[in-house]
Amino acid sequence: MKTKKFEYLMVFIFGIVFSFQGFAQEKTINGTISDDQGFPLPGVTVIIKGTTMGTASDVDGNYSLKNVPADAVLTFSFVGMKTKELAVTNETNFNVVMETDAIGLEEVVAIGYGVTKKRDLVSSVTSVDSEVLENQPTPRIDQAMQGRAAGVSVTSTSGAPGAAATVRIRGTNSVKGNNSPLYVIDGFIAGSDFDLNTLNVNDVKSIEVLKDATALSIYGTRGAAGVILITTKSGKRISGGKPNISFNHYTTVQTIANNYEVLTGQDYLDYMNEASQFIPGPNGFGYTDTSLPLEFPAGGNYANTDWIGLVKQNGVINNTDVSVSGGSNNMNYYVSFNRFDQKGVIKNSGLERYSLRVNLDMDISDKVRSGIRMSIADINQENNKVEWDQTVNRLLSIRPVYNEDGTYNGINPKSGREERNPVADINLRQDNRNTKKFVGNSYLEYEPISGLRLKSTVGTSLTDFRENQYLPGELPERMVYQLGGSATVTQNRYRSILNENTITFSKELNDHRITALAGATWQKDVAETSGMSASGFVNDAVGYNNISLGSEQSTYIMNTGYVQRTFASLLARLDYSYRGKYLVTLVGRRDGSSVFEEGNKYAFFPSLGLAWNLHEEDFMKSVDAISSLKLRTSYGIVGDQGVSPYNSLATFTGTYNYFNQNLFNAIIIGDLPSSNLSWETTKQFDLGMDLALLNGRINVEADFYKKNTTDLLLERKVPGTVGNNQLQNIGEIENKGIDLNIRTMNVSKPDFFWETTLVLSANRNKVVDLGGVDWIQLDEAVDASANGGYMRLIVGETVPTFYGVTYLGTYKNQEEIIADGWEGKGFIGGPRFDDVNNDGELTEADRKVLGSPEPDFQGGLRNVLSYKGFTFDMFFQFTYGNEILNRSRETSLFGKNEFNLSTEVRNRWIEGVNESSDIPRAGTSQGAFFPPSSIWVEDASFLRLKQVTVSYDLPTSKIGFEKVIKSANIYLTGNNLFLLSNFSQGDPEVSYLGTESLAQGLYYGQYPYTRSFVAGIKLNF
Amino acid sequence: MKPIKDIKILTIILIVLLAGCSDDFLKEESKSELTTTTFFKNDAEAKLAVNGLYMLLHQDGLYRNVGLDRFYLMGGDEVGTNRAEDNETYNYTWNASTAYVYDTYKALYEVIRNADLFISSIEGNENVSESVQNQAIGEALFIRALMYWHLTNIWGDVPYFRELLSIDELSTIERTDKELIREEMRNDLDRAYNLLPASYPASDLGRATKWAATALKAKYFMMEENWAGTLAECKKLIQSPNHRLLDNFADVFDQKDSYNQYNDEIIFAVDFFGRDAIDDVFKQSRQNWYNPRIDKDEPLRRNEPGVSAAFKQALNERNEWMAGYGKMIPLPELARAENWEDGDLRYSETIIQEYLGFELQYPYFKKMWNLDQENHARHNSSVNYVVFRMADIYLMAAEAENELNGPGEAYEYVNAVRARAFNPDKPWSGLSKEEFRTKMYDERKFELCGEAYRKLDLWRWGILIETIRNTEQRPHNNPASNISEKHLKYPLPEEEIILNPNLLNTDATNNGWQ
Repeated sequence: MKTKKFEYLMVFIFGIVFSFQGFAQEKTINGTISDDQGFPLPGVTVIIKGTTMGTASDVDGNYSLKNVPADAVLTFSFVGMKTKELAVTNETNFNVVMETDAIGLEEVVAIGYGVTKKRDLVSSVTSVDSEVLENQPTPRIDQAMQGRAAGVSVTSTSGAPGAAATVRIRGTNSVKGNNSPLYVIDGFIAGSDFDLNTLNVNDVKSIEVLKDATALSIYGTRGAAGVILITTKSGKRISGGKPNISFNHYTTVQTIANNYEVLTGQDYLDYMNEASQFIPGPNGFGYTDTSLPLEFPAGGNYANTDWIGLVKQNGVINNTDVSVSGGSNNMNYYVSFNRFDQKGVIKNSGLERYSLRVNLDMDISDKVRSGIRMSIADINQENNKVEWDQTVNRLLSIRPVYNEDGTYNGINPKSGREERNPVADINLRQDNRNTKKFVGNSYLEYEPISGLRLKSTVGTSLTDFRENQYLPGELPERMVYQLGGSATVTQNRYRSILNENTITFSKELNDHRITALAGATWQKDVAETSGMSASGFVNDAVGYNNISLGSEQSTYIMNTGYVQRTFASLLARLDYSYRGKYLVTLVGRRDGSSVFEEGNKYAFFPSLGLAWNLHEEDFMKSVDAISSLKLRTSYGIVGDQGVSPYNSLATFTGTYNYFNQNLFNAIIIGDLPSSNLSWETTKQFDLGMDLALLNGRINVEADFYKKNTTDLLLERKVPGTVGNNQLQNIGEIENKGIDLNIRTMNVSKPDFFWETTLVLSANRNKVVDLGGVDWIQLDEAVDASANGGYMRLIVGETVPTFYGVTYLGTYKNQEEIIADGWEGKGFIGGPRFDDVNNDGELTEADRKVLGSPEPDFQGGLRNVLSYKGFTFDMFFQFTYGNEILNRSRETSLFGKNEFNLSTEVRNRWIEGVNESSDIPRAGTSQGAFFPPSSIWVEDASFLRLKQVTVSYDLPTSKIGFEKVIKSANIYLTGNNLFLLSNFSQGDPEVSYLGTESLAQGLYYGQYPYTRSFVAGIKLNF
Repeated sequence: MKPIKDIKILTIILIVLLAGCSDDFLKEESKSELTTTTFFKNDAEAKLAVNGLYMLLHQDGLYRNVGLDRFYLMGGDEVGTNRAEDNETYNYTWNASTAYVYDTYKALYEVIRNADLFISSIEGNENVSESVQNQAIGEALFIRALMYWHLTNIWGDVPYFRELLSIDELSTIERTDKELIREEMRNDLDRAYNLLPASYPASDLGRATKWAATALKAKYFMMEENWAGTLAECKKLIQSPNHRLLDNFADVFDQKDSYNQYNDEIIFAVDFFGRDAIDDVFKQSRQNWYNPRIDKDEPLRRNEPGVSAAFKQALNERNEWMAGYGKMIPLPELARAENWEDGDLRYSETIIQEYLGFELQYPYFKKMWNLDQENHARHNSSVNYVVFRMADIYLMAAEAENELNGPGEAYEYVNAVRARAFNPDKPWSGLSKEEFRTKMYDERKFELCGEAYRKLDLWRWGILIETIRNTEQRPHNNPASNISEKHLKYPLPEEEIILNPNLLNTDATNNGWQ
């Protein structure tokens, strides 16, 4: 069956290739194109209407087009300009003046499997211009998109070089499934786990975020979490034009932003001394017994190690881009090279990337076009070796770096247990990874008659990943047990092959315009994983580079894995427009996926969108203030296949058993197989408006949406005679909210320009149903040590919700303790909690909702001012109304023997000195296990000056370089310059558990964020 | 070619392409998972499955981390805790929604489901040689019978299935009469006896022998008060060339050398000594609740100057530490020497109240504790869980013989156990049947205390409630005021009944709990 399909495909392709046709009746047209200020406009696209034939103007605004039929109409288009049409007459020379288009209705917007003009767009799609992404001191576009697109929430999880951010489009939909958007790069479906480090930010031409059902249902089961379409740059077709060579380089210096201070020196000794004299006392209310010995009597020689200072450094980024682009009448190209090199702000961490891109389009004949988008990236990452949460939360200043004999100290002086030493980690640990990625997508397009296009694409993505880790035997925590060295090597290969075949037909008949798209696609993803480890290395000379040399054979562990997913889909879209006023879009995708059981493989995802260009109506023509107004609405269904492969198969799980110290392999029955699982279904309604006022000086895009995800995949409890849990389609989550984008052109004069953009998103998320249970604990798998847990999914509340008891401050007197019935457990100056049911214990009944990481609203505010050659660009980013769960509070504020403390304890309750403080008295919490409480939850709202850029266009002509250098631009950028926040430990943008976890908003000390200063130069030759 | 014709051809091709979504292409083929339908193709695979059953005995709800101990050990008249923890167990406030009750229930059935599937897949499988079939089925039958023994002891009538039923059938299953289950399990054990070897080479110690099957069958008979059956099985064991009573009581529990835990007295033990080759930590280990907590509890005079440091140094010199929990310690009456028979050598091997010259705050079970640091960290006790040992069998034989025929022939068995407990010897003689029976209550306590036999003994003798009510407790426990008739059986877990209401079909009261 497979080979047969392949044959059809070949017939299809060759059918196209052998049907080239000639054309009759031709003439050559040329002319000059300029803007309304009289300046020549390079790069304007000139196309014979109804064909793909065309060219683009050169540097001087000149164009020349051969083989133009005598009755042709030429269209001239350029981003930011109104498109012009001219009928060919007997003349052969047409000079054209383009008018600026403030409203941008002619802008072309990428949508799934095609493009459309903003004017004709029915769906809710947000575009992010490449200019805001360029030259950000990050290798990733997700970081660069922060605060730039309404409805898109981007949260950094870590400041580590190359760390992914959590991206959520219109909220969290799924519990067990996927919540990260699907990345589609130049039409290639790269998946929601696409490694954005492999994509050069400066190669990106535009990003479109698809948000509503009509935009998403063309991606069927992979669209529910939103889709991000990335279009990379391509060359311009300029007849006789020279190639454009562009050089860009920037250097960035980074420091840790928002330094967090821990308790050190005498402050620490005082605290511990106070703790050592605290006893419950004869009456049990707490008492300082000054006859007890101090833990750190004065005059002792105590270490005072500044661990943070020992591991941090100034980070440096060097980024270089070189690109060559251009084209002729029948082809265009873009070739780029990039090197990105980052040294992290923690020693011995960094990232180096080399990437190469070739984008090529060519006309094989008048009717046949072909091309390719291809990139290769090679990324070397020096992984972070330091546990930053240990550095800021646990390491005690009284612990020395080195022992007296010069070896690394590996023991916590309070607990006496072995503990990692960050300085040893930096100097000794080896931990790096290499990723090689190739993504190529080629197409062949055939247009047998005007308006009908057949397109076939074949794309592939190949990833080669290797991670090497070596823990030398010298590491202090390994020395304790004389474990020797330990090496782990992980090597994974991924490949994905995608074939898509589409027919597009467009026809304009009087007032009716119709565009129809139909297509069939196949995709196959294969992951082959392998890993090995060995330990007991007697010396550290070779490590992971020769894993069998010197290691103990009995320690060898090997594993391999193979996972395959296949997709087969049919898709269709019908766009109809009446007089450009009334727009209808119908979309459907029938998706088949291998992960579902036989008989349940396919599902259909339809949607319908309507739009009304009100400004085209006669009655609106008289309203001068409104230059354009469109109302849009859509409703449809999108899916998510949250099931992992092979879930419906009954399997055995490998395990082992020891008999009298001898290891035997074993198997047991694996997890319960699922049956009759289907897609998670998201039904989304969207109502939107695009409004332009005062001739485009004010632009507003606003959307209201409501989406309900049903058939949520959740583990349902089954009787104990059956097993533990079984995955079933139960549960529902609702998201509703508003996306708002306001752009105002405050001043638009020839040499002074000021534009303001405000992006605002507000999402309200609610758990509607969890399949019969009231709540699900989210943190128990990752943080079993937190007494009672702190993060839940609760019916009626937001995903996720912080949960715990209420902290009431400190006990100020005996009466309060007696009133609470907490004698013997509560101490004067000690913590006091709200024991709601007064049973003397802090139990489930005493817990309540404490907050959520979901903000009330978030967004960005950008101001761009340009005066002559200077441009000043300032961008603020903000969130409001979200909370953070600070996991370190348990120890940093209450004091646990072997953990370090926050400097806030300087202001603790001290007898006779500071008896009004609500920070507990030293010694009252040692050995106690208090449940998570409201004092762990902090306000995470912030306002950040995310970026300020000043750039200057060097007047090349004045200094006589114009023959060599077409343009030169120098720029200075500062990132993360200023932060306004109430969070006690620096930057409130946190997600300790990473991008995929539902348990967002957890703080426990992530790799620190940076403040960056960038200086760069951009030259065009 | 004319354009119009091209279009027709191409349209047809495209339609074929669109329609050609091949089902083969979407077929899910697992290349890296072991599907249950592709297994049991050779001897080695059958052996893997049986090893898996032993692994499952290490679940928290069973022999690891105080699972079954909550039913058999904690809350009797011998074991208590040093502080107010695990109150549900120690104070008899457990009920149908108590989490640990459900954990154990689920763990027992997980073993049964695996055993069922393995037995039916291996039995008569022509790809598996007869000798491997015999061995594998013998072991699986024994382990399954051990699980049903616990189930019927704890809950009485329970869901019963001998082959892996469908999810639907298992979700709606009813309870089965415990008498039927016990009878069929005894038959399975007969089969296991015939299939299993009498002993193993050192590399396989820890697997079930025919003697393990015999001991379990004796236990089943004992629960049914079938004294003839009990006696017959016990006699088989006593005559077995593979097992004997050790000469010295303390040697039975000597775990100093973790590498040498098996001795002739042990009939069946769950092996907890496995070291991870990579990180040199224990992978198959359990929590230790017998061991004391240093600083918090011990030694008694730890707050006096220098005492704590001296004690720690003394421990360190022996490479020992008290990093335990102290939650399974002797109750006051058992700890008092005057409550033991004069000259009982077992007392000083069982109860310890002073160590290395330091007085301890609490008494501990010396025979069960293990302070060795190298092989016995806090969460990582490498001590095997002894399930059956010979002294128990001898005492069962004595009890059965007395019940059948009076004390005459029974002395032989009880005195064999007492011979090593007293020097000079203090054998029993001249007792009435009734006196013999009552004295046995204490004899079993002194021999077996702290080893998870006692609560079941009290239950089957019908004296659990009165004994608990008359036992002196530490101040933080008060089971006497809570225990009542209904505590003689556990209720089926509440959540299980919600998920499968058919469990109420045969007994709407859920063992008297609702």
